[in-house]
Amino acid sequence: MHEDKRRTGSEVTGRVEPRADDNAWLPSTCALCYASCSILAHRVNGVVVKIEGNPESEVGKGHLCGKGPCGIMTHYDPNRLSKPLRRTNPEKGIGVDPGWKEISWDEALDEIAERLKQIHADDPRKLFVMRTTTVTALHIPAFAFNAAFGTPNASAAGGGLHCGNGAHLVGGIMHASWSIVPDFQHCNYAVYFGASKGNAAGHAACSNMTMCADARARGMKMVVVDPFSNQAGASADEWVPIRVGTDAALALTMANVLVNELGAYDAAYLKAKTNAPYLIGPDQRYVRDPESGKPLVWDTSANAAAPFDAVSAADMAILGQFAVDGTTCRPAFDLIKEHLKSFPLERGEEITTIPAETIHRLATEFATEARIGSTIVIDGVTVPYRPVAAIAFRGSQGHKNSAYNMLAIDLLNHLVGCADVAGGCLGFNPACHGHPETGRLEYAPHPDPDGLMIVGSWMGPHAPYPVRDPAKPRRVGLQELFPMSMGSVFQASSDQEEMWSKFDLPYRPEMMINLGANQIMSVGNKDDVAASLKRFKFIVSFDIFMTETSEFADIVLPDRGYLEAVDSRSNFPFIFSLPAGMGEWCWPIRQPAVEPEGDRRLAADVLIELADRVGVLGDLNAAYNAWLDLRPPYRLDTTRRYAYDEICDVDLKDKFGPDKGLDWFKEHGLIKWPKKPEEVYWRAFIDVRVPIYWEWMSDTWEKSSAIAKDHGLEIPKEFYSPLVNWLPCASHECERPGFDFYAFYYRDTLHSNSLTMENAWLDEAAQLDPFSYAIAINAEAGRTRGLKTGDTIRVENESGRSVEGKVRLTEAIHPEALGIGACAGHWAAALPTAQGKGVFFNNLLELDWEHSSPSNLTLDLCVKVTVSKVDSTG
Amino acid sequence: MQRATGPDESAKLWYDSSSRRNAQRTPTRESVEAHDRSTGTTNGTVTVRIGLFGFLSTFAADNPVVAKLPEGFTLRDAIEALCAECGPDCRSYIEDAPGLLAQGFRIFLNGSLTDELDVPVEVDGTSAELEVILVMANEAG
Repeated sequence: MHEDKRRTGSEVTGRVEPRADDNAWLPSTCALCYASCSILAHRVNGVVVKIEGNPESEVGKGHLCGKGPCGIMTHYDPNRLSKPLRRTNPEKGIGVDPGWKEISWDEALDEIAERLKQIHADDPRKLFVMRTTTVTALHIPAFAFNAAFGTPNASAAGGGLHCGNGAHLVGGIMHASWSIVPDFQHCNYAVYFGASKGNAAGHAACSNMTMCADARARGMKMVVVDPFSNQAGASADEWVPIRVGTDAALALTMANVLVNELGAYDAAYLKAKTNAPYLIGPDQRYVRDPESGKPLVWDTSANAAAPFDAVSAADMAILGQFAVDGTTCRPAFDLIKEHLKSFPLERGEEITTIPAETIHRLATEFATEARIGSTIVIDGVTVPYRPVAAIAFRGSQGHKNSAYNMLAIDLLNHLVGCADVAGGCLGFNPACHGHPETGRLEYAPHPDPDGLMIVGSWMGPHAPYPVRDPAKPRRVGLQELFPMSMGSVFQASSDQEEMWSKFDLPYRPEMMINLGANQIMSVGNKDDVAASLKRFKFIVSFDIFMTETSEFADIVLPDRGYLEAVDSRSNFPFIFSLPAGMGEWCWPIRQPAVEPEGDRRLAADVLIELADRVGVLGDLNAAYNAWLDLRPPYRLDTTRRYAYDEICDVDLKDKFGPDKGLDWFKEHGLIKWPKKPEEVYWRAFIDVRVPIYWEWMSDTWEKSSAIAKDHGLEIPKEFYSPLVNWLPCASHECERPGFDFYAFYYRDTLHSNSLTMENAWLDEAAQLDPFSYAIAINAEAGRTRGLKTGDTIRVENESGRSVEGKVRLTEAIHPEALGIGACAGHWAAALPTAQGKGVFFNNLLELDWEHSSPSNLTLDLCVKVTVSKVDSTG
Repeated sequence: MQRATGPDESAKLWYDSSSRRNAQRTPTRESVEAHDRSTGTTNGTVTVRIGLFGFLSTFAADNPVVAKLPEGFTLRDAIEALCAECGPDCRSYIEDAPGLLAQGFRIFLNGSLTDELDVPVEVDGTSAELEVILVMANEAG
C-alpha cells in the first residue's frame, strides 16, 4: 500500500514533525557511498521504516544497490554517537582506552575554539582537515571552512589514498571529467580495465547499473580485463585475467596492433581533436612559432610549417619528418606510432601473461567495432558514432605507474576517435548549456593558448591541465612539487617527517579536524597511520560511530547521519553522481527524514559556529560565495551569520530561481531538464584538443627534479616521459623466494570502504557471500601449496606486516593474484557488528615515497606477499 | 530518431569544429599573459577596495587594501596593486608563475565571481569593491 502511495506521489512531502498519523515518503539522498543515489525514505510515526530508490531521479534511476535499503540499520544502530565526548587518557594508541567522558556542546566548542584560535594566530597551516568521500554532505562545508581558516592542508580518506590521482588526472586532461564510462545507450563493445562501472559500486553506481543492464540486454559485448573476475568479470561476456598492475602494457600492445598492423585509427579525429599533428623537436618539446609562441604543425597543402590554428585540420600531417628552420621535427603521432612498436605481441604477453593471440583478437575486435568514420543522428543532431569504449578505474590506476596506466588505456579511445561521441567513452557530463530558465550551471571545456583542453567544470578549483610548474612544497602533502598529484601519501606516511625536513617545511601540523573519515583503516598500514595521528597535539573528530580513528581524538562530536541532515548539494553536480549519456540533468537535495536523536548536530552548522567563535565568519561566508558561486542577490553577506539550511536555500535560489528554494526542493526532491546531444556528445562541437603526447612532462620533471635534488631527493625520470609507457611496480621487481602472490584489494559491492561493515544487514549478507570476508586465491595455485577453502592463512609482505583470514579457492582469479575485499577487519569495541569481520588488506601497504608514484603520488596498491597456513578448519 | 551511417562520414564533423574555423576563439599567449594597458588613455582614477579573506588576509596590514587605479583598469592591474602592497610572500600564493594566477585564487568584482582579468573594469561611479580568497583543490579519496 505504501509503495502505491509513493508511486502516485500523493504522500511525498517535506514535513518532518512526527504526528500520530505520520506516514510520508520523503525524497532525499543516500549517503552509504559517494554515488549518493536519490531515495525515498518512508517515515511512519517519526520512524524511517523503509528506503527505496526515487523513480523520479536520474541519480540512481529509481534503483538502489543492496546498501541503500540497509541505511536504516546504520541510522538506528544503538552504537551511534549521540553525545560529545572528551578523552581523559592523554596516552593514545591502538587498543588504548581513551577514557571517554560525556561533555556538553558548550564545553566541547569552548575548548575546540580556543585551540583553533591559537593555531589561527600562530599559523593557520598547522590545521589539517581530513574528510571522507562517503559522507558527501561534508564536501562544501569542509572546503569552505578550510579556505576561511586559511589552511591548505586537507585530504580525504574514504577509500584511502587509493582513488583518483591517476584516474581523475587522466579523466580531466583527456575528457574534462572526473571519470569515464561507456556510452551505455549506444556502445556495442566495452573493455573494462580494472573497473566495475555499471556492475558494482562507484560513480553514478545505480544509474550505471541500470544503463549497463539495458546495454547488455541490447547486445553490448563487455570484456573485463582484471586479475579477479568479481562483480564486473562475473557478468561479462569475456573475462581476461591479467597480471596485477600491467594494464598499460596490454593497452599499448593493443594500440600497436591498431596503429601499426591494422591501420585502424581515426586520422581526422587525431588531426582535429588531439595534439597528434603538433611538431615535436629533438628536445621532446613542441616546435613553436617564434612570433605567436603557438605550436607548429605541418601544413600539407602549403608544404610548410604553420601555427596549429592557422591550418585546416584536414591539411595537418600526422606522419612524417620535416625540417623547420633547420630543425628536424616530427608530428607527435609519428613519434607515438614508432614508440608503440616497442610493444609487440610477444612483449605484451610476457608482461601481462595474456596470450598474444588474445591480445591480437581484442585489438581487432576493438578496431572492427569502432566503425571509424561513421555518424549517427540523435534527436535530430548528427554526431560521430564509435560504439566502442575502453574504460579504467581503481584497479588499473592504483599503481606506481598510475598516470600511464590510465593514459595508455584511454589512448585506445583517442586512436579510434571514440572519446565523448555516441557509443564511445564518455566523461561524466563535461559540458552543460545551463538551466533553461536561469542559465546558471553553464560550463564547457575551453582551449588554452596551445589549443589544449581546460576543463569547464570541476568539483573544486583543481584543473588538471595545464599542469602547473613544480615549486618547493608548502603543503604537508608536498603537492606543489608534484603538480599532477591530488591526494598525497605524506599526510600519513612513515617518512613524512623526513620529507618535511628535507624540504624545510616551515611548520608542522598540530591540530586535526576529522570529518567522518576512518583513515587508520582506509589509508595504509595501521602502525604508520597511528604514528601520524599521534603526532597531532589535538584532534577533534566529527563522527557517527566511535571508529578506530576517532579513538585517537581528544574530543569526539556526534554528527547527524544522512537521514537527519540537509544539503543543497547532496551529489557532486554534475560530473560525479549524474550518469553520462542522454537523459536528463538532475539536481536532487538531501533533507531530514527524521529529527536528530540525542545531541547530534549537523557538522556544517558546527563549523559555522566554530568559524564565528574563531573570528573567521566573514571569511567563511566569502568562501561559501566562492565554492557555491553565489551571485547577487544571493551571495552571503560577510557580516552576518547564517545557518546551513539558509545557505542551502540561497544556493538553490541562485541556481534555479527565487521560487525554487529549499522549501520547494523539500517538497519536490529534485529538479531536472532534458540533456541535448550537443552537451552529451560535446567533443564534435567544441574546439579543443587533448594531448596524446604529454609534452609538458619533460619540463615538469626537469623543474621538480632540480628542486628535489637540491633537497636530497631523486625523482626517477622514466615516470615523466612525454610518451606513455608501462613501468613496473615494486611488486614486479620483488625476487624474494616464496613471495609469489600479488596481493590487491577490490571493492566489495556489499560494502562502502570501512563505513558499512557495522551495518547488521550488510554484514549478514556479506557473511553469506563466499568472497566478502575471504582471501581469494586461484584454486590450482592454492592446491599446489596445500591450501583448501576455509583454511586460515597468514599473508605477509616483505616488511613482515601480515594479515590473517580464511582462504577461498576459486577459478576466477589469476594464478599469481591474491584478492581481498573492501576495507574490512575492524577492531574498535564500539563497532561490535564489524569487529573481527573480514581481512584488513590495507595493513599490507607501506606508506612512503618508495611505494608511491613519482609523478602523481598515487600509492601502489599491489604488494608481493608470501602465504602460510595458520590453521585448517577443514 | 537514431540512424547510423557508413564510414567516412565523421571527418567533416571533426574538421568543422577544429582550429582554423574557430581560430579567433583561441586566445593568444599575449592576451593571456600581457596586461591590457589601454587604461592610460583617461585621466580619471578609481578607488578600489580589495577585501582579503582566508589565508590571504594574513598578509594585509590593513584589510581591505585600498588602491587608486586609473579609469579603465583591469582586474590584473588590481591584483598587481594588491601584490605590491602585501609583498612577495603574498604574491607567491596568488600567482603560480608571473602572470599565472594560482588555481585556487578567486576574485569577486562587486559581488560577482569573475575570471575576466584582462578586460577593462566598467565602474559605475568612482569606486569598486573586490574580494579575494584562496580555495583549495579537491582531493580524491
